[in-house]
Amino acid sequence: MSDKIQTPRQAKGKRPQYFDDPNMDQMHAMIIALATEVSVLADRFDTIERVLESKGSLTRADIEAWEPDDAAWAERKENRAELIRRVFRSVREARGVLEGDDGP
Amino acid sequence: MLRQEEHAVLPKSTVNEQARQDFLNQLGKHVLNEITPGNKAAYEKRVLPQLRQELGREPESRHEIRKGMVRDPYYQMTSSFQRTVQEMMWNSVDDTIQRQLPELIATAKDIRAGETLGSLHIDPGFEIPDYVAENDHHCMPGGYSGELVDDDITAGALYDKGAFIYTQGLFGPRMDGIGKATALMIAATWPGLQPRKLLEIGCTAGGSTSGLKFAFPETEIHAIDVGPSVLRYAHARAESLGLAIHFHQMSGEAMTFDDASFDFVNCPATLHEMSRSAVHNVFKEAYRVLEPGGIFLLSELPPYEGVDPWTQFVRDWDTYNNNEPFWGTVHEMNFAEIAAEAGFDADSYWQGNGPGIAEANAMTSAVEVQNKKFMGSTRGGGQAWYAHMTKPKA
Repeated sequence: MSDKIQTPRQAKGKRPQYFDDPNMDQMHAMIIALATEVSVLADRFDTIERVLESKGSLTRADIEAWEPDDAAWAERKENRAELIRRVFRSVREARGVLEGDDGP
Repeated sequence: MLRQEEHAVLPKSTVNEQARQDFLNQLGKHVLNEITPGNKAAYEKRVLPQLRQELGREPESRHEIRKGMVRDPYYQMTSSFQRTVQEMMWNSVDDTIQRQLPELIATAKDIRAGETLGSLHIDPGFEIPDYVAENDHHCMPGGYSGELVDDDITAGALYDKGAFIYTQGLFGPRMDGIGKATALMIAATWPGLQPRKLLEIGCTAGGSTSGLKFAFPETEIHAIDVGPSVLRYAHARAESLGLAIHFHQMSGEAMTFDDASFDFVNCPATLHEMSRSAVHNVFKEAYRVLEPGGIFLLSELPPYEGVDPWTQFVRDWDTYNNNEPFWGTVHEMNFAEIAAEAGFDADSYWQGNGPGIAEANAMTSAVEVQNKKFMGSTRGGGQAWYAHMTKPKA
């Protein structure tokens, strides 16, 4: 679309640096972005499976129109929680060590 | 299932956009509930012993604690998480808005051009105050006052849809939780009160304002903000929900309403986005536009006074990491003194905890209220902090 209105993507002001090496800040942002995109794919895949199961075939419009019901939503939520637990396991373990046990 | 209630100008997500927004919502919750609490142990076991050694005493302020914590790898990781999730959340909503912006602008325009219940007053000569124009509060790209094209509504849409995600649904499916909580506060404090004419200072997308209008349908409600895009959006949103609300582009520091024209003024969690001098001016203006006997009610985050330095440090995360430069300042201000200077009856001044957003939204079964925290590392969803005061009768 050529007449697309360009909205600002970054907040004004200097972004804080969190890690000693600024590249670590970028790496961390990239990892979170990748985890997000994996979750997006997982949700889409879940939609495809469910539409196929109920209709036997599908169009892209079917996918866009499909809305999860409460049961499907709850399953997805649990799958996302599992993805988060797996991808960010090391942080949770670091917390466990800090709090004096061997991790959750 | 937690979903924002649809209305005419709420941007609609595609399947992938929704998946991204759902994930970031859930990751944000995970970070706050499962990851940031580990900072307490990092402080006690690693940072505090080091600070004691360096200072030769206990750390006495949140600033001293912060200087130690920013060197701690666990805190670095958790802060990087919070900041990054916040940025990605806004961008995920921006994708949705950008894709349908011309249509949303047209819808808002059509609503304005048709028969309306309320009204919209944009002041073409209005100058946006520096503390809003030069800062993108809570890292929202473009801030409250951005205007990209004529008749723009982007800032309103971004706030409405983005804040629903970043408060993790706590504001309710209709984003009116602050207004609902305020209505509970009014009912608890002044039983039976139905304001005749109510003003809301700092309405943004009109979420809180709509909660008040639902609670007080007979009350004539006016709402002001400085950003033209948020006001256009708020007006279209209110009309679409069937609510008569009058929106005005005005600064709370210098309003064009007549003296003594309202019996109730509400300022919902607005002051922490304003400079110190602006806060003083808001109290003076609230006093001026209130009729004798009129009430000024505000909600804010609780003051830091009397709170231990560690908790202050935790609550202060947004000041340094979420583009909230006035967050720390406003929590050190003495509202009782400012109220008295403005002319309010000193004996009428009250401050303390009252109904919170979670409590207000427990009335709505669709809202999950089990999450105890939102924003920064800290804000409790349980209770809100209020102050109220009265203009003397004679």
